[in-house]
Amino acid sequence: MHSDKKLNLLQLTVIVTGNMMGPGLFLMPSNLAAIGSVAILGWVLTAVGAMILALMFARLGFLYPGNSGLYTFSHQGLGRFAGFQVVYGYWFSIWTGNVAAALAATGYLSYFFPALHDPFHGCLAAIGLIWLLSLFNSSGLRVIGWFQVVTTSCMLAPVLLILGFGWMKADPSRLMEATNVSGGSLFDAITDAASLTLWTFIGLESACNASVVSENPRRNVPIATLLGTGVAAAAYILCTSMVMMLVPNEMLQETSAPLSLAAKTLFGDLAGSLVSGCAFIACIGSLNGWIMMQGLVARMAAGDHLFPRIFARVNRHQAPVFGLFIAAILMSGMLFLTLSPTLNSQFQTMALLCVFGTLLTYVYSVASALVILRRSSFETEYRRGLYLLAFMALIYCFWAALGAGKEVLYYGAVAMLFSAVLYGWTQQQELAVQEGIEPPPDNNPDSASKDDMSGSRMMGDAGGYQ
Amino acid sequence: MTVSQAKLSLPQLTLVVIGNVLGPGLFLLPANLAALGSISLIGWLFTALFALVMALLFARLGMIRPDRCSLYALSCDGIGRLAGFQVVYGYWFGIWASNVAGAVATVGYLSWFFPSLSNPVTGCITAVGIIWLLTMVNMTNLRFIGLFQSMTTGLTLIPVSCLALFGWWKFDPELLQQAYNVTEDSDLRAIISAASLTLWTFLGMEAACNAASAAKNPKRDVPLATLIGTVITAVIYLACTTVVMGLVPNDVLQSSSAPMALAVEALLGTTAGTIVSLIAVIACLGSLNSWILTQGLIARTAARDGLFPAFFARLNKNNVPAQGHMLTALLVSLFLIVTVEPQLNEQFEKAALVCVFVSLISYVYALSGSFVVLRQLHMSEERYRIMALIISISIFYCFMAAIGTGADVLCYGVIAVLFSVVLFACSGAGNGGGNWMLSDK
Repeated sequence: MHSDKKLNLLQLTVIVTGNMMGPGLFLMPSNLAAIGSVAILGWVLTAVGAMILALMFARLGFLYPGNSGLYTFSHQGLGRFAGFQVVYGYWFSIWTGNVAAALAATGYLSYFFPALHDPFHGCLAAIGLIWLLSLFNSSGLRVIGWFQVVTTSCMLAPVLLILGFGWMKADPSRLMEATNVSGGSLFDAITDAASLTLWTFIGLESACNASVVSENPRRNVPIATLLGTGVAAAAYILCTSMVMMLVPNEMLQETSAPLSLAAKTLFGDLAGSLVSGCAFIACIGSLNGWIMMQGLVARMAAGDHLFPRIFARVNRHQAPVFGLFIAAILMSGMLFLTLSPTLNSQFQTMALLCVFGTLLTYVYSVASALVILRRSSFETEYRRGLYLLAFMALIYCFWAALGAGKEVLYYGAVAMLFSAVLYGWTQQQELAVQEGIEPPPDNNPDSASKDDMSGSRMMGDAGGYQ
Repeated sequence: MTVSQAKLSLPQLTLVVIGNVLGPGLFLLPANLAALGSISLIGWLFTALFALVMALLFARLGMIRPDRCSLYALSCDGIGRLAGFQVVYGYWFGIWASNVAGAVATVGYLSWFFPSLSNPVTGCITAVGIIWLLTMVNMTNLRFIGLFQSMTTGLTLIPVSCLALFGWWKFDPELLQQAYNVTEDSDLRAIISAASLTLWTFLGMEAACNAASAAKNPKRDVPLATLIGTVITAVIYLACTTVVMGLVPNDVLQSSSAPMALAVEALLGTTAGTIVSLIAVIACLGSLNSWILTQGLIARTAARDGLFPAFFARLNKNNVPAQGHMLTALLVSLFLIVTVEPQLNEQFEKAALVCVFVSLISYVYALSGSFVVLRQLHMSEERYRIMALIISISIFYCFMAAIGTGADVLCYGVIAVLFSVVLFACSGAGNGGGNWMLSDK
């Protein structure tokens, strides 16, 4: 992504799509089935919201090229504390999202081991996965290149299978039978679906660093952003609709492996098992990447004196082992705290928490965009267009935040309040170190910052922080 | 809240502290606490302890940096401009949420005379009417009414202390034991809920530090006055609520909108109950009036410093920020209509909890900022550690109380916080322009 050769429109579109596509889709059909087929409408609206946001970040990318995106925006626009809260929100969204991904992996594992259907056993399995991957990430072993190819194919294969052959046995009347089974009003159902489906678009902010590598960025970046988001959204929405047309609503609501169920309906048991296997591998691959990422984000934040220094401490394999373990403890605790009657509802809570953390970073970034725009030297027309985008993005963000629901906002409020404490504590720690009251950290700061550079490059590839 | 030029002695300082903390919060609270059971007294005890710790902490900060020890200054200096803005915004928001609670309490005691006011619709209309009446009063030259505040504080003390002293005469401990925990939740939950709710009555305890510059012998007197003042208030509150709960059966208390009057009636007969209702109405009106005045002033200062939109600072011919007053009255009316509940008590509780949550945000910001601010003062490491420990305990309490305000309040609160970021970006302060540093109260 950082090569000297500039990318053309097609390549850019592929990158945007690739950044967005993840295993977010895998458990979604079950959760949306609990709302009804009207949820698809919510998904479409979220796709529009995601396009607005991505477009906005892409256009603003010209202002601070090559920096760590949303953090820089907020820092420049609203001050250091806002910048910190964005990093904190991002970090929060990563580890809560990881919990959701671990639950999705467990859901597909339960296709082979039905005992995992029990929420408590499932929870234990998810904790096991998280610790296993955290240990793996701190051992200095790195995933080799071909594994990335395997996990990406494992992610794409079930989707393509269902998209390609689903129409053979699809029954559109299934969509009509269960339009809104949520028990709430139509508007509430759409709102709920809109919040939840935003989980699948996370990574859209990576659009803001596309301008550096693109040829003719002013024309290509917005088009690629729209196209890329559109392709990802279309794949998601078509696949989910297909699953909803293949599997009866009640069965879909109960299952923790909706894609396997759809494949089983199409081609029998073997296909179901294969899809489950693929989905499990895809989830694990993505989880592994994001666990590494969450360690790196915290480490980089600690390097910038935004997070406590402990997050920057590395072991002899240069892995931020304390940061990884702190997050693993938080994730395990959260799994116990949100223990729900079914795996799906717990997955939903965690995915929504991740959405809340992301929305926080979006609101801060869009708000700082307002400030930055006032100072910028853009021509009036361009600026006016951006103001309009910002306005629409804010409306979308608040709507989606309200849709996250009481329980999620409740945890979100506590997490947000805690950010001030963490920041205050970190700042006094820095002052103490400057005055020589506390000993400087073990690591040589120079080497740490060098690693951070490589870290941020990795982040660019994973498609988040930048 | 104003402090005169002459230097204050210890008893005077103590009175300032009591006057700041003691408000009409007590008048309706026993009914809400009765809905939890007598276990709420334990929650109240925790809140009192916390209030004491906070008040002492702020008194101490007031001595170390007398000019910049308000919640706003601590957040701004320690955490940053955004936090400072959110504290001002929250303070203003908290005052008008508190005015909603005050208006509801007034209507509650008015319903002693006009029972038809217990109906939520007529009650809500009356509350809106009271708000507009007082707003109009504040926009004219008749602001001498603001002077009533000191008088109404005295008026509040009469029935309250009478009840706390003589109520034991007919006190029935059985009533307390029967209704220990009437919620369906665990004891811990009930205590936490009570702790959040009762915090409303202690809001303003941090104001002790404002008096530091006016004290004759601040080093000795300010912490002492804070200590004595908070303890006296806490004792009055606790004794009074205990007595009310021991005089009136739990189910009657729960559905009452004039609990103090009921308790006095049980003690001394109907006439006494009527007198207490009258006093309560006057006290509530007086405090409501002074808070409307303060809220206008805060918004005006904030607007002058570029934190709030300019029209909050626009004055009418009587030198009053009339437009700001009108807008706030509109917001309060809206809030009253939106939160309308079948029972006045419940509406009161909602408004009080919103106010508590908003204040808790300010406290958490200011406490977190204190970590940094204290570090900048180059105190010895040992003293810093002790202060940091006290701050950490206070923060822990704040989180408990925040959780206790309940999922409803928390989720609207977090949306409001997110929205304040957008407001900050739109205000002059976010642009880095304007004289955004608020002059201290």
